[in-house]
Parts: sequence; C-alpha cells; structure tokens
Amino acid sequence: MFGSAFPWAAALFAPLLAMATTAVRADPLPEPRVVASTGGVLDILMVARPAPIRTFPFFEPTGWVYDICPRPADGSLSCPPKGVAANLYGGTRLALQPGDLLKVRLVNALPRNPDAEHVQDPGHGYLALNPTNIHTHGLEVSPRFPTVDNPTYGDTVFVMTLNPKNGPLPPDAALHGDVRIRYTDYRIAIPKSHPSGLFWLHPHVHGIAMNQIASGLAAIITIGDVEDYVCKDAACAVALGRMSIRHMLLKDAQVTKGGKLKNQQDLEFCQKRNGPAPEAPGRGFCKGINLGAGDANYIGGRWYFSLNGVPYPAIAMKNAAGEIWRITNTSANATYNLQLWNPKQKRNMLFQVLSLDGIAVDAANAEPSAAAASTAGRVQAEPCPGSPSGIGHKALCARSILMMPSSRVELWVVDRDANDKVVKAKAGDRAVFRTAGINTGPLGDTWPAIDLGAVGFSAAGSANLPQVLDVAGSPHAEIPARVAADLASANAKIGANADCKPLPAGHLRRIFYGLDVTNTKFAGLGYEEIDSEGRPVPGTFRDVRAFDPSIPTVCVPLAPGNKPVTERWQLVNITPLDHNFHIHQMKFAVVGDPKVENGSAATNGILVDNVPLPRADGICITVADWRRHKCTVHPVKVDLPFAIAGDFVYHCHIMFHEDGGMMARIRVRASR
Amino acid sequence: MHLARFAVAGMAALASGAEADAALLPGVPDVPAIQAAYADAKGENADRHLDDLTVHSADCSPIDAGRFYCQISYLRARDDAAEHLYFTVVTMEPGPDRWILKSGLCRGDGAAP
Repeated sequence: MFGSAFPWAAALFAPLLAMATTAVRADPLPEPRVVASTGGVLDILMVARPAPIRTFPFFEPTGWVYDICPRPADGSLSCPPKGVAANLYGGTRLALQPGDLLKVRLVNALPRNPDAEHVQDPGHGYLALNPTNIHTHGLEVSPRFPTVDNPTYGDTVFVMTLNPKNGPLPPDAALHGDVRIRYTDYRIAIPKSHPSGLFWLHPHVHGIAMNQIASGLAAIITIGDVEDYVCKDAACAVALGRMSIRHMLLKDAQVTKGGKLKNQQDLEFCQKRNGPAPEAPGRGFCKGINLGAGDANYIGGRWYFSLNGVPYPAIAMKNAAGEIWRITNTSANATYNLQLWNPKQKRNMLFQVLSLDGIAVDAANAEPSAAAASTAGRVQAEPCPGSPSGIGHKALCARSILMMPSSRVELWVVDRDANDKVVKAKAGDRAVFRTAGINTGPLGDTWPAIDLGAVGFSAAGSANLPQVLDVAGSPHAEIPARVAADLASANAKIGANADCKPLPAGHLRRIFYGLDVTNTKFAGLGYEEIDSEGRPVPGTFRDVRAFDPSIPTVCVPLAPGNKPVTERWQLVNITPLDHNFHIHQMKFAVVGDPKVENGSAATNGILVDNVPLPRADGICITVADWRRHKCTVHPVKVDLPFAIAGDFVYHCHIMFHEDGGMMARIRVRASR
Repeated sequence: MHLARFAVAGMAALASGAEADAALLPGVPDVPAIQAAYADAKGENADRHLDDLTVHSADCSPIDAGRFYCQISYLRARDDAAEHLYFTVVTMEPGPDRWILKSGLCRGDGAAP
C-alpha cells in the first residue's frame, strides 16, 4: 500500500513482504460490478480515468479504469464518487438482453501518456494525448458511422475521443478516423436474434490500444443469461439453479519497484524469452528480473496476473453442484493456458466447456474428436465421462484451455473423482486454478506459469448431480441470416459500392501475417486472392504492410437482398512466432475437420471470434521467402459469414502486434 | 459547451487584450467561416484537400491569442455510406479579414479516407 509513496521503502521491504503475502490467507474473489439494462435500454456514462489499484498486495499503482454509472440526468460528465473500497480496476459487467439498445457516453479523462512506444512514429505524436474509444468485442452489431439524423456511433473503431486537458491536436496528425473532444456518444443496437453469451469491451485506438488495455481499461458484456443455453432439460435446470455463476476477468499489470504501472509492457519482465522458468509458479504474480541497466531492471517489481483485479483470490464454492465460470482474457498481450490442478490426484481436473467466445457449443454437432481442430488447438477436447444417452451426449470436456488475448470461455467446474466422474465433494477438496507457462515461438514470448486462484469445493447440497450439462444455444448455421434480418435497416443505409466485387465461387482470400520490410519497426498483414486451383489470382497480391486506415484491403458485397455471404479465408503466418486472428462484427468457423473441407464449416459445433495462428518453422522475412520454401507454414482456414455492412477491421489481438501494424481495414457493402 | 476549460482560458486571454487581432472578425468562427477557410486552404494546396466537403456544424472554443479549437462535423458528396457525418477538430486563427484554417481536414490524415 505504500509502494508509490515511498519507493525506497518498497524496495527495502520487498523480500520480506513477498514472503508474508504468500503465507496470508487469500482474499475472496469478488464479482465485477454489474450495470444492467432496464426496459430494453442500458444508458450509461463511461468515464475512462486514472484510479488507484488497491487490490494488489504490496503495491498500490495507478491504473486506468472505466468508471461506469447510469447517465446522469443533469448532463454531468462524471459518475458519483465511489468508496475507497471500490474495485473499479476489477471491471464492470454490462448486463444486456437480446434486442436491447446500448447507449454509451464515453468520456476521456485519461492523463497524457508520452511514454507510449508509438508516440515516436511519424505523424503519431498526438498519441501522447492519450485519445481513446471503445469496441464491443464479439458483438454482432452494426459498425455504423454517424448521420445527420443520428449523430452517434455504432461499434466502430474509426473514431477517437480526446481529453482537452491534454492539449490540442498537433497539425498534420496521421489520424485514423473521426476526432471528438471530451466525449463521444455511441448507440449500439443489439439484434433480437443475438446469441446469448459472454463478450467484452475495450479501447481500440491504433498505436496505444495495448497501453490502455494494459493499464486496466476493460469491461465485460453479457447478453441474455446462462439459462438461455445451458440446462433446458428440467432435471439439469435444478442442478444449474444450485450453482453460482462467476465472471472472471483475467487481467495482468506490470508494476515496477517504484510502484508505477508500466503500460508499455516488457514481455520479458519476469523471464527472458526462452529463458529458464522460475522453479515454481508464482501466486498471482511473478517477480521482475534484471534485463540490463536502467529502465530494464525490474528487480523489486511484480507482474500481477489477477482475477477481477485480485491476485490469487480464494474461490470458495457454495454447493456441491459446482459453479459456472465465465472467463474473459482481458490482457493486452498475455496468453493463458488455463488448468485446474488437483493436488490430491496430482493431475489436471476435467471441466465441461459450455461456450467459446460467447457462442454456446452446439452439442448436437460438436464432436470432441474434431473440437481441437475446430478451435485450432484452443481446446484439447475429450468426451465427458458418464454422459447419459440423450442430452449432452456430445458434450465437450477438457483439461486445459488455450486463451490468447480476447478469448472467452464458459466452463462448468465441479469436483470429480479419479475416474473424472462428477462426485459430491468431501470437505477439504481443493484445486488450484492456474495458467501453465507457455512459449509462443523462438522469437515469440514466454508467458509465465502463475497460480491464479485457490479453489475450494463444497460438500453442501444434494448428491444428486448430473454428469454433464445440456447445452443448446442458437443454431450456428442460422445466426448470420437472423442477424442480417434484424440489421436490415442499418445494412441498407450503408449502401452499395460498385468497386465491391463478390469473391468468385471456389476462390478464397489469403491473409499473410508478417513483417513490413519497408519499416522493420512494424509488422503487418498482406493479401492475395486464390483461385479454385489454389493459384494466386494475378494482380491481387499486396505485400505485407503496416496498418493503413485509409485503404480497405478487402471489399465484400452482401448477397442479393443483403443476405449473408460466406467467404473462406486462409490465414498464413510466415513469422517464427504465434499470432491470432480476430475480425470484428462476426463469428466464424475454423475449417479444421476434413469432413467439412469442401462444405460449410458452420456445422462443426464451434464458432469463435479469435483463433491462434501457429508460427512458421524456419525463417521467412518476406512472402517471397515463403514462396521459395524458406519456411514451413501452418495455415488456418476459416469460413466467415459476412452479415453486417460497414467498415471494420481484422487484426492480431496480441495488442503489441496490433499496435505495431498487424491490422487491416475491411469494407462490407450492401448488395447492388 | 464541450470545452469549458478552454473557454475559461480564452476569457482570461480576452481580459488581457491578447485577442486584439480577432476584433476585426466575428467573435467565434462559425460554419460559413470554416467553410470559407477550407476553400482558401484548398486553393493553396488542392492535393491535400477534398473537393466535396461541406461543413455541417461547428462548436469552437478559444485556445489563446485569438486561436480557436473547433469540433466540427462535415458531409461529403461522394460517399457510398449514405449521409455519413464525419467529425474532426480544426484549429482556426484570425487573419486580417477572414479566418485561417491552421490544422485539420487535410487529405491523408485519415479523417476522410
């Protein structure tokens, strides 16, 4: 608590306090604050501002938080004061229902941030003013721009809000879209047909998105309720009624020995790339190491990995029926490999996967044997033991979940015996919720192993427990058409574009992840169209370049009648480090199952909005190197059902990479 | 008023007489003034300015020495997104007989792709 006020004292007492904090009892895991819609509307003021983080042991750094409240009737641009104990850093949940209208007045009250890396880029000095915006990640909503009749924004990243206290915009700023002063109004209509599930919200100003997320700016969004897709069966519903539903934001923050939150993250803060791992996982944090003189000496600092802002909390269950965990990776860069370690059984426990990225697993079609391929390795699925015939017979279980940045997952966590069968817990049954260490390539990052929370199972309640939970969400194949119908008016207003040509039948689009060789400081994305014979279509190749907001790389017309159109894309990572692919305004299916290679992948049972892209073997600097077979790539194919018109982006969701240029603009237009 | 703090600073500048040059012009730049200043800027460098830009609204607050910082919205005639209303900020400075656009609304700044 005294770290920021007395940094010398913090350094002096660091070793002693580190010992003490590992011995004390863990704080309970709090739920995020909830702001819920009423009468079909959620009308909120969202102030992005600095605030002390009081939930970290030892340090009390200043983070950046969303202070959210119902919009004041008097037009005030600040929320009522919160108590000292308020855990704004831990996050807020916006609870919405399908068909709701989300109205947000976003106020920028952030300080200047001159230390952000990309402030130094030509034309981007204005990023030191710390402009901000929001993106409702995973929501299938319109990215519309303002009009004279409705001067508010949809879910677009092509606008940013300045805090006027931070100074005026300099001349010749290389802007990425609209500029607003002090606040911006958003009106985001949630389609009536929107699937129920877990989504989130974060800033998305290119160049400083990482800094703002790493400082703490994130909120989660829920559409509908878990009951909308879990336990439609009456007996199952009884069990579900006994379960607690937890929402967990995975958040990380690097704090230097002086108690300052470092938002220009150093991904080797605790462990050199490919260097030796600590002997044992840290409980909620890892210790900084010395990477060299000056600013790179992190001795005495900590990299916190918290749940809802609390490092290594106690997760005490209240009923033998277990809990539903709704988990969002809100870290800017960190990849987690989530596991539930059972110290008695000395192995990772099984849990049931209910949804990924806000879309319920389609139990009717999800085959565990295909699930790993259908998620490009995110879920190493296996059958759930003891499943009765009938409901849930294709339920997915797993012992680990790969969570790259922006991923969400919903799990049923319950005590299990040595045969993985659900059992009523005995007093004292415990587990450790952890992320296993993971490396993303020879030139990638090394993510530390961290114990995230202490789980205590409960012996309370009935021993009559289901072996699996029935999952039945929106039929995946029907989602795009329903969303397009709900957004017909918004799509029509976007209009057609004569330059926007449909992808010929049998063709696919190939997206390259690589380096921008015109400026080695930047990464970027490339593009080419591939014909039905697998050959590049002449004249379509665009070499890998850093993000240019003024040039849409791809233009997609909707099908006649503004019906959805599905395109197949091949994602080719030619770099020696892992990335992930995320596209706004839609869910997509990974074509991982050979059975659907020539058909629709939407029947795989799993839809996602981000997917890992494995690194190449060997070294390719350019696409030409790849064509000369200097490296071996592991392409990922996806089926993208475009249903929403507008301009939006696709990008790597490791924000260090996105800010570094791995993003492209896409244009979807109404049919002609 | 978006920029209350700038307004306070501007009032202080006025009180000290720093706004003398602006006395020849209307007190605050408005939509016609900004449209005219844009036309002047386009005349000096057509490559960096769009032909089809119409200023729709303006909300200006003083910075210092007669300069104003303005939140404006504008429309473009050639746009496949019907009625798309753009927002950006411009800096206006008083000239001898008309307002001068000092920053903002340049082609290639991303505000008007």
